[in-house]
Amino acid sequence: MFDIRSPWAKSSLSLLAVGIAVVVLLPIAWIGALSLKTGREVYKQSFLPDQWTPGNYVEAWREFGLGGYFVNSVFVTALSVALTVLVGLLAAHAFTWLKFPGSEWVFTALLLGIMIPPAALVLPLLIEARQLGLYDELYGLSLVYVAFGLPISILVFRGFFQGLPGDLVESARLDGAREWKILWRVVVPMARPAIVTVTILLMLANWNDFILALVLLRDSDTYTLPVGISQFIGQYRTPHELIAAASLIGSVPVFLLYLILERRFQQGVAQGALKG
Amino acid sequence: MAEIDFRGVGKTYGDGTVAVRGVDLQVAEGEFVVLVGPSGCGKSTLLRMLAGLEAITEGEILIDGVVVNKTHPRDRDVAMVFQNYALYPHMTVFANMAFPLRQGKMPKADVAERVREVAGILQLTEHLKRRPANLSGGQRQRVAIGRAIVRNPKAFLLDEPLSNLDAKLRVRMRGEIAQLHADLGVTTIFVTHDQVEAMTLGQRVAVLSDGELRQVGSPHDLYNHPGDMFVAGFIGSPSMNLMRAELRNEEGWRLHLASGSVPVSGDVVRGVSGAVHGQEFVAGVRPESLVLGDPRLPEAEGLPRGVVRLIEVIEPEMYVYVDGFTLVDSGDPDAPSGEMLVARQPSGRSVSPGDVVAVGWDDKNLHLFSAEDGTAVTG
Amino acid sequence: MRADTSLTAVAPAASDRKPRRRDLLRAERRRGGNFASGLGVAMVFPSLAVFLGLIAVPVVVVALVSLSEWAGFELGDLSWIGLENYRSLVDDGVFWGALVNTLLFTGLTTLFLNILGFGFALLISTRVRGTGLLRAVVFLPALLPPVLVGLMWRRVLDGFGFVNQILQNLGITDEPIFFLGERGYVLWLIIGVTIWQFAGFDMILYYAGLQSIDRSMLEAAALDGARTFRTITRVVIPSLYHIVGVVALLNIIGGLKIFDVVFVMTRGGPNRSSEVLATYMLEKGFRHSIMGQASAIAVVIVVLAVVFSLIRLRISRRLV
Ligand SMILES: Nc1ncnc2c1ncn2[C@@H]1O[C@H](COP(=O)(O)OP(=O)(O)OP(=O)(O)O)[C@@H](O)[C@H]1O
Ligand SMILES: [Mg+2]
Repeated sequence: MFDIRSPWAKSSLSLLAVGIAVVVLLPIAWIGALSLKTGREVYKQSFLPDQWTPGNYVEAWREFGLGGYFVNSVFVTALSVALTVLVGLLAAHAFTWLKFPGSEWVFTALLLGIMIPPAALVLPLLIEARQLGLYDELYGLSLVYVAFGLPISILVFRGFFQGLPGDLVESARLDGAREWKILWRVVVPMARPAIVTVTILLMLANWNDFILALVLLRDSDTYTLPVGISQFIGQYRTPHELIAAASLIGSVPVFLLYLILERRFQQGVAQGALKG
Repeated sequence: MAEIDFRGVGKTYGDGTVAVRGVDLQVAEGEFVVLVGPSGCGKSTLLRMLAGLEAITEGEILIDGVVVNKTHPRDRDVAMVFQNYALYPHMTVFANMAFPLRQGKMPKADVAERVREVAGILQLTEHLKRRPANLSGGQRQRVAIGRAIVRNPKAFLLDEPLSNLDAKLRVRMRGEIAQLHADLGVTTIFVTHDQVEAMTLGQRVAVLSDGELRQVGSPHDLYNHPGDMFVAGFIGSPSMNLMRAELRNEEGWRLHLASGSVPVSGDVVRGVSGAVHGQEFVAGVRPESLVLGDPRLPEAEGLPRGVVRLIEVIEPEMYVYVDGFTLVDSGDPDAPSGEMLVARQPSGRSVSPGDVVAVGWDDKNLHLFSAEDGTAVTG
Repeated sequence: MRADTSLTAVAPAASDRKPRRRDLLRAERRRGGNFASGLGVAMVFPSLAVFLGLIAVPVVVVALVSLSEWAGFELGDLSWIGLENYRSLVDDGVFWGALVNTLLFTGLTTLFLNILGFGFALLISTRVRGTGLLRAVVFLPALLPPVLVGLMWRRVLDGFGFVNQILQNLGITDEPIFFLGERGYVLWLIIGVTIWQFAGFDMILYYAGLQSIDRSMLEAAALDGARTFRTITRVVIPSLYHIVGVVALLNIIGGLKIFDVVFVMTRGGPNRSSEVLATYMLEKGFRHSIMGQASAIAVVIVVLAVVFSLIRLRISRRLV
């Protein structure tokens, strides 16, 4: 975008960029190194482990029961994201192409949801969850995620739908297609970018969520990864290297996804954030 | 195939825009009707109401005698070709054309057979596996038409289907559509804002302006017997010259323009019921009917004259623009207005800008319109 | 559509599709009113139900409970006390401390995230060598679960952590500093960690904004002989004003909800020096079972978030 010509400026900017990258990365790298040290080495001054102990990961996995948390997190994230996308697509389709009297009002009301921070609603949600039998249930937590994910999803979907040629939908109607089919056969295939954006946003939010899961789950067999791992910090004797390993394990899925989809991920997050 | 009947159809959009008002129009089974009018006059709205894509706010539309005002588009069994074709970008040509058939319970093999059949007619067979993005404009157009005819609907609705094509291709597709109609005989309503297209295609042409139907008739009728000033100005290119004129009876009837007068036969005057001395009219003469003459000749005595300002030669003809007249606005935004007449002459004539010419015409080519409401007063 | 095409090939057995008039009549009878309405409502219904049940109702409940005294167990024990909870918050020094901390956290993170985010975005938009690495690396922490980020930094900052190692190796201190036990440090450290985590996020947003600037404007400025610095101050920044507004408000709204990092790094301590609204709310609600006061704090958070969201909405309207 800016055309930097002078080689001196170029190399100093490069140096700056790499410098910042290193500084940002160092703490994670240190944690990475810590996670590979033996218990005795933890308190030593060296950055790299003397004795590489990848076994820490296996131990953290077993010791903390990360497997169960992991499965719970995957389940909750997958279920909530799938539901949100599905339900959001339906609503956005109606808001764009099947308007009914008052639909604009309903749309605006739904958007108000974007403004409400989930953290502020944990108390009433807990009360409600107990009443409805959603407390300490993974599907209950998923439903709550759906509620908080829907407004932004509908907003992004509708914004995208409005940019699609409406002729296609009308043409399909004339061709005799049912609305359901129009959505799946005509609209969804064209709306892939928006669906990817929303999926990324929701996965990130729901995988990383802490406060809702903390409040709405009680038993350790329903804990998600963030809640599960956070339980060990209070325990005095938890070995540092294992906590480090566990933290990294919990970060791996997002990290992998990021590696695969880097640019899409960044675009998706930017689009979602700027629109919502 | 179906007959279509518009009865007092009107449309007011949610924002208060009145797009169509009081349209009465019958389309017979198998007929090809062209709906023509300037941009924004409500053509698409009318068509979309027929298709069920837009709610009808006034009057009723009947297909085969059944009021369909509230029928879902899918149950009306009409096919529409949109201006930008509305092809599904993620589907192949085959899938695009098969889409309407797959909505019913037609067996797969029959679907494929039918699509191939139609593709053959439209010369699309080699392209069936391609996607719309990889087709030329004309091919896309054919796919859109193919998708419309594949399910053998009751009626085709085409909304400016040719306007995205270049001039040559437009002429060719025009011919193909006409041929297709001749072959299939399906009731067709074709919308265009291009009056040339309308005149070449339509068995019957309906002229729409400002949401109102102005005249319905054969191209010949519209051209030779325009019902009002709007139709007179809109049909024909270049447009008919419409001039403010006063009818006077001084040693015979004459029509007085700004700079002279033209004799009118008693037959014409008698044809206008209640014509009196001093009455104002709008006189309409087509460019090809104007006669330009040397003002020094004795027979040019008294005739209106003007100065030639501009000559456009379009072999084998030329358009001569003559200044010095008061033209009347016909209501068509594209028609000439102001002070210059257009005359269409063989290109060989020796006229040049700056010349003064006398202007006249033959009585039988004169159209007279009421100065009040613009309706035609002569046959 | 050759003239030689046979017509019969195109019109297949018209007879088997004949009873269309009857179909039409039946279809017409089937649909009483506007065909779209019913289906549209049905498609919106699931969203609306979830929204009403899990957002709208809780908002109402939290507002109601904030007007009551209640331990949160039996509904029968609930008694209405009007604005008493809010009055006691006004007299509650810890609440004010949490509010000030929250606002301080919000303001400072917003300020630095925007400065750094914009700076990094400019840097990566030069596309010189190394900026690809920067872009990938700086954005990474924004994706990690904040809880785990808090956990990691707890280690990095503790007595045997990375920071102390550096300080000792550089000879700045002899004894390890227990950062998270120092009242004077904790809030700043939490702010620092948050900036570390989300600077890349703002960078990406600003980068998206930079990409949307009309290239020809920059070229025109270059042709006019403007130096890069002037181009940035005179062309780039003015055309990003709205984006700045949107990003800043996004940071503000995010800041008001601050919880995860504080919870795992300090639990609001030591001695409440890093207490924020959300941690205090949970403490009141769960540790002390004072649902009314906890709900009053929640209402404060909601009100703050809604106010800033509305401002943001105004700005992003103009953005389009
Ligand atoms: N959805 C709408 N809401 C409000 N007004 C509309 C809507 N659609 C069309 N109009 C208005 O109704 C009038 C008729 O529009 P319509 O699209 O039918 O014109 P048209 O004859 O098809 O023009 P064109 O040749 O440009 O396609 C115009 O004034 C237009 O602005
Ligand atoms: Mg139109």
